[in-house]
Amino acid sequence: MSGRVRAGAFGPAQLGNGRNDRLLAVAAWTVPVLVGGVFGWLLFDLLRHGLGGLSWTFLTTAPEAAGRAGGIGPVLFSTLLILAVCLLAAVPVGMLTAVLLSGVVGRPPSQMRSTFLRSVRRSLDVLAGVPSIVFGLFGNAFFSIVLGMGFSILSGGLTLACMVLPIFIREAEEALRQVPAELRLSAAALGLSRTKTLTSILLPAALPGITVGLVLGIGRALAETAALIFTSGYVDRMPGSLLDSGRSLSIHIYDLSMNVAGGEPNAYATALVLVGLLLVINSAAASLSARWHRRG
Amino acid sequence: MARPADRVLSLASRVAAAASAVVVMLIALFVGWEAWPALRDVGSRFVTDSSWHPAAGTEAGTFGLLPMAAATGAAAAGVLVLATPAALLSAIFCRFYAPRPLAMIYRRLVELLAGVPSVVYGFWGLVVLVPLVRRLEPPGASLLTGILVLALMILPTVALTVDAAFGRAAEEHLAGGAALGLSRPTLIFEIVLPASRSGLATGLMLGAGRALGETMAVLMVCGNVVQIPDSLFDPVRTLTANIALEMAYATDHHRAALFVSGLVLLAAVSVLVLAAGRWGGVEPEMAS
Amino acid sequence: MKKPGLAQIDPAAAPEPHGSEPSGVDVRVARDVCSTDRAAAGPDAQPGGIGEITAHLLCGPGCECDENGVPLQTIAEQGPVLSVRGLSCSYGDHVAFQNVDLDVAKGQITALIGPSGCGKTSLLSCVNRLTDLIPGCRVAGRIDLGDLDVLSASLDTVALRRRVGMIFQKPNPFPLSIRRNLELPLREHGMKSKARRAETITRVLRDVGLWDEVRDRLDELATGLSGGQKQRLCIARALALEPEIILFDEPCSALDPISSGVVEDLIAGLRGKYTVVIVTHNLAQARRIADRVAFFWVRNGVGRLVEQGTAQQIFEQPGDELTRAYVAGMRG
Repeated sequence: MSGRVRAGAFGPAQLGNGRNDRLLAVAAWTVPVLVGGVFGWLLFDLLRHGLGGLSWTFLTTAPEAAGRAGGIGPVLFSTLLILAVCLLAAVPVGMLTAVLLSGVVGRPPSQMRSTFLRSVRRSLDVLAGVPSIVFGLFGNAFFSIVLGMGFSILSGGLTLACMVLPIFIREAEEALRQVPAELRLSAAALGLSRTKTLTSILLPAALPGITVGLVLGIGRALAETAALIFTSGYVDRMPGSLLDSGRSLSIHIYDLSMNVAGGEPNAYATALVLVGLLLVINSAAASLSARWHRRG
Repeated sequence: MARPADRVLSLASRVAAAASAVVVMLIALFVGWEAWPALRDVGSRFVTDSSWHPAAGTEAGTFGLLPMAAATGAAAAGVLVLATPAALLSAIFCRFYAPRPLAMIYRRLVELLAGVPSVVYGFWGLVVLVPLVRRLEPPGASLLTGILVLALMILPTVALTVDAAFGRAAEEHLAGGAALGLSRPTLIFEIVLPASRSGLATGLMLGAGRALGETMAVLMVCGNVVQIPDSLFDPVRTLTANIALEMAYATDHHRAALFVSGLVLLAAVSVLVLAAGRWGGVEPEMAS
Repeated sequence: MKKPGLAQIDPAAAPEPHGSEPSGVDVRVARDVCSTDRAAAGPDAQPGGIGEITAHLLCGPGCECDENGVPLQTIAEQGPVLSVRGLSCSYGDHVAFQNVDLDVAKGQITALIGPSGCGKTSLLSCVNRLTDLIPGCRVAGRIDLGDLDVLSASLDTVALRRRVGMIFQKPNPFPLSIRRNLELPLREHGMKSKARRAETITRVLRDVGLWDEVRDRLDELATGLSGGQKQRLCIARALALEPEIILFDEPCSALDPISSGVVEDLIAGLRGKYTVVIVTHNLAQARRIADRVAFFWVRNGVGRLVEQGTAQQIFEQPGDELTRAYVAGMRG
């Protein structure tokens, strides 16, 4: 008789709730099923059409007939060069900015400095949201024309560096903040200088988190297309220097699928290479950050 | 107290921070600079002209950005209509219905999805979705296809933000609500959802920002016809696609006009991001 | 169990004090002295200044109450409302507590004392099955609440939690208005009538002494209340559901001393109307308010129930050396 909590003022609510719960459960399960399905579809499609074209020769030889035939050797090489330029520019600047923003070095900020920090943070938030095509416009106007780099790997890489900067800074700052305060205090108590504290204690402790930021930045840079069309350009030959134009993997896919009749098979194979690279990189970032968070 | 090395570090970090902050201003400055001739000479005709033929110059050409702005807006709106319930359900699934290991796997999957390049989404949309939609109603490359592909791309950003907000709210209120014998739907819709409103708003604004600014996917699946769409099946050209298509050969005022559309995008997205920051106060979970 | 007790969840069923008992047991034989009508009509406030509390769990056939509704019966005569037998609880590899036997008498305040980490809070979570929400948590043994098998797999936990109130260490009002906080559980459990909900809200807010403080701002956010007010709101929220038993998990430890005193008096005033189980680290508090005390200790990393008895027994003639040391403030 104790099961009769539904009596009295509290009507038979249980049944209604149960039905709502089941309805919601069904609705909630549809989304992951759909998302998983679409992801599987996309991956399956890429594998089915792209796997056949994939070979060592494909990865190393130059494209022929506007990419319909041949491989992606120079494209892969240009992509790596663009990435290298991007990281060489973004990491030092980003690292120093993260050190300042995280506030782990130096005095507590004064009124004026905290205003400065706040505006830096705001600008970085906006920068993270700037559409990639606008980065492309900017890179074209600033790096290619004003700084005279033309359509080049240098100008493309620097444009990407601007894009990657907020992502990297966010992660690096977070990583530095996560370093236990006791470490910092004990270093200060031992009379270590700030620079020494940073290089010998904070940076090693924050390294896994910083690496996550680096890997996320690489992922973002590799995926980017629109910002590169008018900065690093289309040329699919092997670049002779950083001032040569070079075509990235993403642009290669775009060009083959939109502008080259019969380019689809190689577009598939290239897409498979790119997605494969990104999956590896993102999984690395995810497991790194999981391991790091578990430890912390 | 301050040693030379420390002074160098302090100075260098301040210079670097200033440089990072200046990038966004440089972008606004240079895009504005390049756009200025068109703003000066074309002015209000960006809104009043009914068509887009800028190559003929300021006198003979027409500079109507409205059809493309309308396409951009329609695409973003459609994306939000699709992505909002999907992101909510996705977070509800993760926090309240999925067995824990499955929720972890699913979250990982969503993160991976966020990392797939837009050009690959575009390519997949072009070779798979466009023919499917064409069967429904030609030509296939249309506003609808764009919305579908964009929604898929935006979903991870919004879903991860909402999921994080749900996680915080659930951590705080799940035990209290359950102890009162509240059912799952009540807990979710009456307590957790209101408590994570700001997270949801942040996620949606970031998602909207990405939808407005996305280029490659819409360029590849929307058909690129300059017109105000009458139906979901009409091909459209967004502001972003327009820039990507015409920058290669644009000169003079045509080029400047493209920078004007870039400026419009920059302004729209900045407003969204700043609003998300102010409203939410929630650190957005950055999709890679 | 010879009396239902649980059916008296309708305090507002106007003509008949107790509603009708579907099982056919005529509950109206209950003594007038226990009737909710009388308590509601009586303007006399309860000791402790928390206002009248109208709900009675004790008004069944054979119920014996004094004028204040304090039960005259003991466990032996009436049987415990909550009985725990051979209960163990573990999280993954970690065993929170093992082999606990505990009886909780109706209308009494039972305090669980002992050092941190000896499983007192986990024990509370077992009683309303909040352990279900904790991944990797396993519970074995037997818990009976009235004639309800709490650990049964087929149990409707929502219904169980409606009968078991719980107050947490950190006050946890929902980020909604004060009114919504109270209304939500009432509506959830099927109280359809708006007027009746409003009536209940007023009553429970009076019961916890919050009515005069918040009557003009019922529609403001509950999160804007002070810590003590929040905790009293949470108690009111639990009372609104007329639970058979209320679990308090260190309800005062996150409060300032003054709010803590107010909440403690409030809990003391629940004696006789509600069955209360309270976890507390504050021995003085346990001594002040508890009728019965159960002492927990950690042995080999596992929580155990060392000794239980009346408050007087535990504090003045403890049977176990550990208990003696603990209540004397020598350990823990």
